[in-house]
Amino acid sequence: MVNKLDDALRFQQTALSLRAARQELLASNIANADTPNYKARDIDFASALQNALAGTSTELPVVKTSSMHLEGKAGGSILGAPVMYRKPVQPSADGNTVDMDVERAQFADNALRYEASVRFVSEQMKATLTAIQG
Amino acid sequence: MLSQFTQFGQENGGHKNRAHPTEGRLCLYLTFLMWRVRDGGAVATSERGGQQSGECRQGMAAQSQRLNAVASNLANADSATSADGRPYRAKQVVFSAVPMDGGAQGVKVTAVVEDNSPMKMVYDPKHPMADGKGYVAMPNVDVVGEMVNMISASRAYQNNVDVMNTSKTLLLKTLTIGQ
Repeated sequence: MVNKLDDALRFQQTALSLRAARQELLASNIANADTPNYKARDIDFASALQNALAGTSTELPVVKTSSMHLEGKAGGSILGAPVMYRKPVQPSADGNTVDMDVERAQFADNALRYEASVRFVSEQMKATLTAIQG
Repeated sequence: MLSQFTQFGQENGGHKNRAHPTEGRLCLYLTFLMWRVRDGGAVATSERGGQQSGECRQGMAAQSQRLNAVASNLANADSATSADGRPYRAKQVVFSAVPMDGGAQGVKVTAVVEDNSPMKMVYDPKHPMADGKGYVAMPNVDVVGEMVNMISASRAYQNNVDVMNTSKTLLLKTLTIGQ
């Protein structure tokens, strides 16, 4: 029974975790809008969600044949999803690739979708309760 | 919670003169709010919400320090002498990204550097600081550049405040799950 409830809510729960993680990345980008050499980062949400649900990771392991080799992760990873650098549209002279228009738009979009997920999970719970109580 | 507050105190205690008296109170309140949510442990995602506020809090602190440097430069644009007897030199802050837990990056002012460009030489033989040829070394403050810096800093500060407000809204929404 508990397992079934868990399964029913897992999708939205995973989506919420990923949305929160992405929101954090976008907040980093906005906070570092004036930091020289900072590169804006983001995740590919669709593939990240698929992988998180399937429990697989898209990270390609880099074969290390010497202890001097670096880790193959450039931007790190969040919940198994690789964090990628944004392709700059108008790179600035100080090496910063944060485009405030893009970041603000993505931030607002992500916040809206987060709220939608919250609403979905709430309604799902209400529906389940209605089914139980009649 | 205590550690968060002491950390907060250190962050702001470093400045001699704070540009924004309200910033401290707002941050304190929001830190408290985030802590309450985190302590409640309602949903795992609330942890991340608290951290989002960390980034923008750092962003706000850094931008307000930059604004402070601008204020200092503009106030001293005509100070031909200072405490050490030499003319005032323009000060600039250096931002750098600091990694936080979970892959996010905050921002920190790592140094306040003095502008090494040459002083403005003004011909004013009656000035008490004038040299043998009648020239006075005036501060190397670029007033127009500083105004641009000020606008940029204030816009960046507003962006961080907006991020913080959005994070707060999302956290409050998260707390309504299941109601």
